[in-house]
Amino acid sequence: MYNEDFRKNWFNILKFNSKVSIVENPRKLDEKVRIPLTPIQIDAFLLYNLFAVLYPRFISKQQNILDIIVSDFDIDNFVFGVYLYKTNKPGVHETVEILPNDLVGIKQENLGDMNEIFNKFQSSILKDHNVKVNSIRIIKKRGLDLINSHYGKISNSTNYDIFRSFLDLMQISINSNLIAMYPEPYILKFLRNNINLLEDIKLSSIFAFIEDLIPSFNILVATASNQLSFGVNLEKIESKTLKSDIKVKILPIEREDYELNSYGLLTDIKNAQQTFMVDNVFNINLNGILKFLSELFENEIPFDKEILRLLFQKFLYGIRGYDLHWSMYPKPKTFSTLIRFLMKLLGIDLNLKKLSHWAIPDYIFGLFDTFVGLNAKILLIITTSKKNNDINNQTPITLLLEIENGSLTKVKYITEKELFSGIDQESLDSIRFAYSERFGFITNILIINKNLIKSILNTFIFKFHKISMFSILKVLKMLRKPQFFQIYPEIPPYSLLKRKNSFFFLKDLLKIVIDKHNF
Amino acid sequence: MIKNSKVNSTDVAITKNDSPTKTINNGIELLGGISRFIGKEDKVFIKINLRAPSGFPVNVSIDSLRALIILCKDAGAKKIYVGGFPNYGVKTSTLNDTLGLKYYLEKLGAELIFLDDEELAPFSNIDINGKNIEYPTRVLESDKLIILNQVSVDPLFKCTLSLLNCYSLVSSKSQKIDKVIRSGKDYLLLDQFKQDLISHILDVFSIKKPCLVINDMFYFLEGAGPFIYKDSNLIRTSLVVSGSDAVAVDLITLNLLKIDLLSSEILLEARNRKLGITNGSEINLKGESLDDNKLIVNFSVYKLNEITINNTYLQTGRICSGCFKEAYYLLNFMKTHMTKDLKYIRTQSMLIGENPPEPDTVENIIVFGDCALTTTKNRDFRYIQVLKKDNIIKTVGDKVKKEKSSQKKPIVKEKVNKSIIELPGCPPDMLMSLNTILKYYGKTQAPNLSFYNALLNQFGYKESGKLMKKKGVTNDV
Ligand code: SF4
Repeated sequence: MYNEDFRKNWFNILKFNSKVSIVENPRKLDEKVRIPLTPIQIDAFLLYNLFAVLYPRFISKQQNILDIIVSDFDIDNFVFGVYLYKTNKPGVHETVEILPNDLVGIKQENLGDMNEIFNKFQSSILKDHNVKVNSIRIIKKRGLDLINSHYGKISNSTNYDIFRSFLDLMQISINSNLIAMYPEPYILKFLRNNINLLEDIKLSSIFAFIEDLIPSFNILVATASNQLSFGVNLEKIESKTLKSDIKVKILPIEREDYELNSYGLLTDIKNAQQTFMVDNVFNINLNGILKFLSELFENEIPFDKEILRLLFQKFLYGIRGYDLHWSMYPKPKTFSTLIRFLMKLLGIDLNLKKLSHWAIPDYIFGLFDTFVGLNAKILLIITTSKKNNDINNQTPITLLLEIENGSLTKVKYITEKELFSGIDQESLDSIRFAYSERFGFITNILIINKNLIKSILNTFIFKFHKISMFSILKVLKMLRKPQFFQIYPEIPPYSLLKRKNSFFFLKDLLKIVIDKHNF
Repeated sequence: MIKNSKVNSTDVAITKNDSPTKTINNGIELLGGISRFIGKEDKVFIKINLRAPSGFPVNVSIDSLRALIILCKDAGAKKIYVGGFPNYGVKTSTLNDTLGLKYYLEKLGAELIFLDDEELAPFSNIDINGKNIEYPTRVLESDKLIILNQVSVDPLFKCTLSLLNCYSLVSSKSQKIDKVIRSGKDYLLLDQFKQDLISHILDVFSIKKPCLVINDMFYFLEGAGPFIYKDSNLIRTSLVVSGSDAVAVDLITLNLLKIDLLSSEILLEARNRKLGITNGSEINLKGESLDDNKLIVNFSVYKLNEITINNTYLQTGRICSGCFKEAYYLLNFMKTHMTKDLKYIRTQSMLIGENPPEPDTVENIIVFGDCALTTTKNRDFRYIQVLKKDNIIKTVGDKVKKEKSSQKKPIVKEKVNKSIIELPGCPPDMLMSLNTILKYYGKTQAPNLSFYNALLNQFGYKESGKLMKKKGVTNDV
């Protein structure tokens, strides 16, 4: 039933996991396995630790898991396989036991009541095997077939294609209910609800779009704690002849080689840069990020406005917590007191450690709600033309964002290209009218050129260590140019940006986003 | 009074559906179809909410408006005009720039009327109840008037009724209520402002009655409104109330919100003036059941100090609805758009109404409205005690003489407290108030307000602050 590669790798993982508790120093076992469903080779003990830390936090804190493979159709022998994983540590799968398919008689109609299925299996296994199952995963046969066909691609595709295939697998499985868990973990609900926001948009297309935007890079995201220390090395390789690809390595970080400060950050981050031979190292406090993610996943989608405000605040609080929640190498110039002091002489206060996390969300949400409205439909057109934003030039990506009570409720991919034919494409008025007739009143049209998105990503992520007044001014200047950015009708904050000198606009903006008391 | 409809109906339809368009269409259908209201070759004026350069629900739902325009066209209307006066003297052209309505409406077969452009939309002077009202000739000359009203919470009337919507058929200047004190009558106690306002609203309404009124509450803004504030929340009720009698439609709308006639001063006055049907039993309800669709919503606050704002302390004396409404807007604005400023300001007191209690501190005192200004002229907080600084030469001389300073009593001097922001007006104008407050605090202490003010200045609000000084500012109007 399972792809041979998948099965072999999975058994290797189980075998290794079962050895961990009996050997003195499992780190020395030095075995490699693959992360299930991915081509990523990983140290088996690191994978063990990842499961031990992440599974209980995001999926289930309980021991003993049951996998049930069922048919997609309402047939007599509905159950195709029952697999019991007894786990000593929650999430760490060590052994698998195949149970009879008719252990509990279930039919397709029973799938609507997961609680009942769970109870039946739990009591039956408790009675027969004296094991209390605390979590069940039901996988439909089609889901398994998709996993198998995904596995077929792993050996002969680029990472880029494998990631796209993985995202398709996830989206189809969640959308078509090919996989279900009981009790349902927050993360699954969160993913499902987020995917439901997307209409006719594939996650793999989003990935491809982002991949195309980002420059070549080679970074390490490192995190270290007593429990779990590892680094994710991400590298985008661009070549003139071949399609670009992404390399992902997940590597253990030997705790003996690095000291941690009292906030759980590496004291010698430069060392990590040299050891892993990367351009930049982002060092993140694991507990902080795990806590943030747990809180994020627990929320309903679409986000309640207040919750979104709070999450945004927390995110900004994380950003301002340089040397506390995160650090990077090379150290961003803006964190140098001397450079900040010199900029301050020009009236520019760019101290990101004083980011006004407590005030920015309120202000942004207030402006957005006021000038765009609580209900809105925004047509987002992403253009690729290098010379100008003429949407005639090439097929732009067109998305419709629907907002209700200030929250994003739907993102729709617009395929109706025929709407463009027969309308005056120079006139945003006429585009807006044509789309409004089809989708309801379009509040605003937003046209963004890919080059602008690239610039923003470079300034605020990939070249964050070089962030300066000049790089931000460059982005602001691009925003003023219609070949990179347009809003129709113009909302007052954007009109102000266009009217005002970029330098003075930035100065005023920084007064809003940076706290007053600095040195 | 100009009657504007052949329909003399007591019918009011409550409709519910999954889109505003369907809900409006169902309502008109239940009322007998659009041709009962609009005849062939009629010139129709659709009065909408066009309050501010802001998004929905501050302004009308454009999808609802589209549905209505299409219906009018189907009925054979010759011309369809759409318009309304924005609040605070904002120009329709400014709203058009931010909403991009003109082209859209033209494509639909309607015309956006810039009522504030006298050349394009002249006024007629109408005498009514001893008042002279400048009323748009375009509306008077239209064969039919339709009110498409977005329902939201309102600080004075609980919710924005269609009668209030009619009021913005006249300019902000014409809407202004002058303080007229009747002899022997206590202006504040009787809330004469509100009485005059209601009377004025009904005067404007009665100039030309609409033939069709649609209270669009498909989405209802609760909490704080009708502008969008931090405490605002938009709920989907999926309901629309429509009919030909504005008073009856408003009554049913209030009933849906669990408010009866006796709790609505404006409808009671409309009853006294026999401007429409106020007897529920005379209303012929169609569509959804009133009882089954009653809504529980959060209305806006009844007391100003229920608007909790960081570092701001309110001292309220006797006030009328004029100051209540403007202070409500100002406080909600502060809460929504001045988070950072309020933290930097550390503390501010706001004195509102006649004889407000003393402020808690002598710093950053906002005196709001003429009543507060006149009744606090000689209050203690107007003066502060400061230690008088000695003459330097004398101090040095004293030191030479080795006089012990501790033996000397410090000299205390009384000075005028300049940490006061005076916002005159009866009631004060919101935008001018913001300008004055910014002049007082400055960019550094109020960066949020400064940025917002720059946004507003784009609409041409700039001129107000010329007479203001940095400290102890007055908003002379
Ligand atoms: S100043 Fe304010 S409270 Fe006094 S009468 Fe005028 S509006 Fe009313």
